[in-house]
Amino acid sequence: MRHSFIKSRPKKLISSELRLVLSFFSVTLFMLLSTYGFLAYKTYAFGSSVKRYQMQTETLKVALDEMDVKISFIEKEASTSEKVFTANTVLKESIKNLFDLVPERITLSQAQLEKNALVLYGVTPNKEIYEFMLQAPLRSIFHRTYSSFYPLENGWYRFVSTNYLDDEDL
Amino acid sequence: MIESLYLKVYVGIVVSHNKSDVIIEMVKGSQSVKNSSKSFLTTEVNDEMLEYINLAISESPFFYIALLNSSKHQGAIPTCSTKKADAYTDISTSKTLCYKKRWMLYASKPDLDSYQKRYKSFGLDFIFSPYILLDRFFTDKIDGAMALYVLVQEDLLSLAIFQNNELLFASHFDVEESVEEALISEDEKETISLDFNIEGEGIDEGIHLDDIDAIDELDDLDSLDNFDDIEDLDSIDDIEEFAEVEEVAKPTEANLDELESEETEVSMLESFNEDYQRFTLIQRSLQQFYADTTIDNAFIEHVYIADAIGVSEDLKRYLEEELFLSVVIREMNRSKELLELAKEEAHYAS
Repeated sequence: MRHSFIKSRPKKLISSELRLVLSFFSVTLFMLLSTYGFLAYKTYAFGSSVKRYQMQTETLKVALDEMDVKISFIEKEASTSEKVFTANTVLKESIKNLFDLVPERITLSQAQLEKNALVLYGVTPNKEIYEFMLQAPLRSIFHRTYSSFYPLENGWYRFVSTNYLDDEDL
Repeated sequence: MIESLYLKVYVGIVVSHNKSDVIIEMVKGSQSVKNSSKSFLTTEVNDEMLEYINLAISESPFFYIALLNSSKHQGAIPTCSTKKADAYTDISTSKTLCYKKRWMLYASKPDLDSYQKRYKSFGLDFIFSPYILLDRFFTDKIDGAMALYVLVQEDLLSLAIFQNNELLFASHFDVEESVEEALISEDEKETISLDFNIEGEGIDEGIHLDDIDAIDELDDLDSLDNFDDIEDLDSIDDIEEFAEVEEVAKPTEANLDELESEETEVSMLESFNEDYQRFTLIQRSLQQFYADTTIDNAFIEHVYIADAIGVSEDLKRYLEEELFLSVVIREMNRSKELLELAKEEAHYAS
């Protein structure tokens, strides 16, 4: 029940000066805490980024390894293709040289190219032409050369020339 | 919650015509820790009082300063309705307070403002009406039959007539001013008195102002020796009331010895004069009540006086002999009552 003609003043536990000081402290404390919170969040965010990047690195490493494997495979393929290409070129050159080697008067009917050997079948007007025009160059190329002749009805000779290269020279 | 852990400081200020009484009580929980009181010979705030109060209120942030309204422009009205209140007095410049949802207390706004201005150095929390003190002081009596209750202060007189806890009439006087007024307009009063005598229903027609020769009464110091007669009169009343009267009577009897000295005689004369003035005001108020009341067979038999200053036995004697009233005087420690009220009010305020 109100008995007084005037209203009681509100009672304050802390004076205005103290309240000012406390408000300053609380603002400072709030700023410190918010900075701490911000930094803590940033640290956490940074940590999770680090983890993510680490995982990415791992994934990339795996991908890199896979790529290395693929690269080495492709390199091998490339070298193989190069070898094949070279071999093909050599073969082509060899065939070209072979055909260049054969004189016009001799006719080849069959040629067998093997790894270390060349077998030629053909017809020659006479043995001398064969010996001088074809066997001589073949002998300069191959280590061993064997020739066999079969006389034909018209006086020409069918011949089989077997030439070998020794392994050590390859 | 936190409040209960703190020390509470209650300061009560009671201003009389030339001094201010300050009482301080410090309470922790429900226990009183420290009590002190001091009187200052000023009605304003002097450095000594300021220091005394500031020292006390610096003890705790929970301090409450209560002032007993000693303005002459205040009173009580037996209604809480502001519309009906206009029939009793003009309350347009007053601050009102509905008390117990039954009657209204009012006090002049400018006076309340001037108090707040006067005590602004430490501020005021509560300003209480003397009628609340009177009501609380006689709370065991006011729920009874119709009786007059008077709070006697140095220069103020607060009267109220209660019946079954209902306020019927109230008037508040500045003693000196009222008597001066009475002397100036004596002729008018005679007319009122005559009117009263014609219309009066319950009062003894033989009693009115003219019947009492103040000078004779004051000069007749020998009449003080007639205390035995008064005690005989008291013996008619119940024992409780007699005991209360006796407490007041004793110091007055002790004063009788001092009457031999001339200096005391002068002060006693003043005291008789003041008591006579109070008696006059009581008588006037009763006449006014009887004239205005609409209650049939209204008759006041008992007067309960809350004595805050130590009135002389003469007031009792006047009332008993002239108005045939049964008088009970109860000594009141105003400051203490004020503090108790402040404590209760602080409980509601917090």
